[in-house]
Amino acid sequence: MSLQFLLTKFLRGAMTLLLAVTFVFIVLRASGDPAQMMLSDEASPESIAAFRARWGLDGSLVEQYVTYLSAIVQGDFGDSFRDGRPALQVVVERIPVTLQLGITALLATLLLGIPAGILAALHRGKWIDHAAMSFTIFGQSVPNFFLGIILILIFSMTLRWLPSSGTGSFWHLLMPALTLATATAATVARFTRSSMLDVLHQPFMRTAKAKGIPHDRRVLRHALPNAAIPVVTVVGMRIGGLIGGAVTIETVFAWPGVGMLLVNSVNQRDLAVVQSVVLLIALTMVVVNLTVDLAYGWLDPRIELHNKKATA
Amino acid sequence: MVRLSNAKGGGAIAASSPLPGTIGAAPLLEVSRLSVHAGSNALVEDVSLSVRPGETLCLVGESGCGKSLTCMSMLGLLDDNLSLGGSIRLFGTETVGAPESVLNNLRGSDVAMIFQNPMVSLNPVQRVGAQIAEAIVEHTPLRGATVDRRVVELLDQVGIPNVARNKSYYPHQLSGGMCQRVMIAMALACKPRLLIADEPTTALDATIQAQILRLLRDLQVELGLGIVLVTHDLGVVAEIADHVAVMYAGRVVEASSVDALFENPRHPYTRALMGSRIGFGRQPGTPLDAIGGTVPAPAARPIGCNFAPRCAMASERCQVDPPLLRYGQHAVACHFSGLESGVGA
Repeated sequence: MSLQFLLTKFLRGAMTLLLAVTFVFIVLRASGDPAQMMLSDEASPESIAAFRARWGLDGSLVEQYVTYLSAIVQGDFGDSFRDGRPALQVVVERIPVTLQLGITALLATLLLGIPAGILAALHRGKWIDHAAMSFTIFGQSVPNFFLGIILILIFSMTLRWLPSSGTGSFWHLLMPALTLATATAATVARFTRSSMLDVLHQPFMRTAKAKGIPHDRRVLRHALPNAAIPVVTVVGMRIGGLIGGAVTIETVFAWPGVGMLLVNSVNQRDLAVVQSVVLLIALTMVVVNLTVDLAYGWLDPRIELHNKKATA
Repeated sequence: MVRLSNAKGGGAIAASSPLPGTIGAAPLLEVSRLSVHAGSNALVEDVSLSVRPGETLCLVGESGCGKSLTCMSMLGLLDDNLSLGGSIRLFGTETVGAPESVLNNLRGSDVAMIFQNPMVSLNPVQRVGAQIAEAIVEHTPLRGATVDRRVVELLDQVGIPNVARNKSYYPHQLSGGMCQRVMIAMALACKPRLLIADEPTTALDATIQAQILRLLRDLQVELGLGIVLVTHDLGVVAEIADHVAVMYAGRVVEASSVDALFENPRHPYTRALMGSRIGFGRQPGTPLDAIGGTVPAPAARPIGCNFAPRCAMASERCQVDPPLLRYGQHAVACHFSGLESGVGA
């Protein structure tokens, strides 16, 4: 991995973050006055002016933007309008709960999606393939909030097996994580299947067979490492989907994480908190993309070494 | 030794004798009345061949004549949707219908195969040394450093320079010729007795082609290998073959020793193939004798002789399956094969 490669990636990541921050800054200010939202309708013009002065909302948009950016660079993300605490602190204390949900969902995605895709490819046209592909169509077409509500209806309201909201135990985690993982697992399964089918018909698979390598080891040692390359891309992309999905799923299951914080903060025009959450999500995406790029170099020697062709 | 069986009827008939020195040796490979079907379409029909130690048998023909399918079926490498008929015996073991475990014991150990396009026939994400080592570990008790030494020895044997460096390269870092040498090293890893080579030089430059053929020839002399070599290049045949089977539209139409075939080609298709060759003896400006038309698709093969629609000599007689005609060691499936030389069946 060359230094230039890493530097380019970091610069691009920084640009992405700047764009995300700028976009949210403009959209939030264009969508309503926080002073009007936080104070009651009958608030006097004086108290509104005082609120604006207190939170630095009295300057021009450009002034506010410059102040905001320079504060961020110094690590100051502003204070929450609601309770006056630093916005960063409000966000950071929610991260572990969201991470718990996100990582469980990601594990479920990988453990369901990849084996389903492999099995479907190996048994192409058989019932196992049809079953897996029916599941993926279901998973991709049902919106996750709707799936969440249906699961609550069945397992919480009717069967009373699982809690419908809150955190604390594995059973609290089960429904939100599976709901979140369904669509991503479906996408990953489809990609794994098509990638495997492609690889299984490559000439090098025939070579492995002609070498006398038994079927299972041909799949594990020759097909999988080659099929993994496109799958890593889609898993990376779907992590963005998991984060976005977490916003609705946390609301449906009253999961007190970053997603729910974001929804509440948007409703209350708690600018500093919304901006911090968006920055955090953008940062996560940048880090995931960088990891995917690094994983390519590790999975596929052709990407890293293409300029060092031997002249033998 | 090549045997040719009567197209849709009679039994297989020996068409040539083995090389001196191999007389009496049991055949490594005996294919008899092999057929490959896709659904109801016959892709390969009634092919019979055999190879003894130290012999090279060339399968010649245009694209789509079934020579690669014939090769693949020898190691059970056909896709699942193709069905195999007839018999293939490797060292006396019947492999048609045999379980995978039987085939896996033969594949890569006693019988090895090399393929047409070496660049895509190697796993792109594994180092070439590791790919050779895998075959050794699979079929021999060697482990650890001994395997590594054997890999180096093999790469040396096939003429790869700077082995220490090249064995840790990935396929894309090597040239096509180098990749084919790696494939050959991999094929030789467990000291096979029979090597099946499916157009091993087609994807390579002419100079590399000659090197690879010479390498195969040298290894054959050194190791006493039997070789089945598929090619559409008559130059390659003249270079390396002991016996030749000419295939057309899924059948063997002519089989003989290489000398007899080049001296006196008897099937109109073989003659047409030779006529369409670019050679040194050709006057500049004279047009090549291309064979008109194309090989019929398996579903569209005519009744009787498959070559009749493209054959200058074809007549009503050709709507009947051509009889098998023998001229000593030379076997031909054509109604008119005796006319030129005046020898009857």
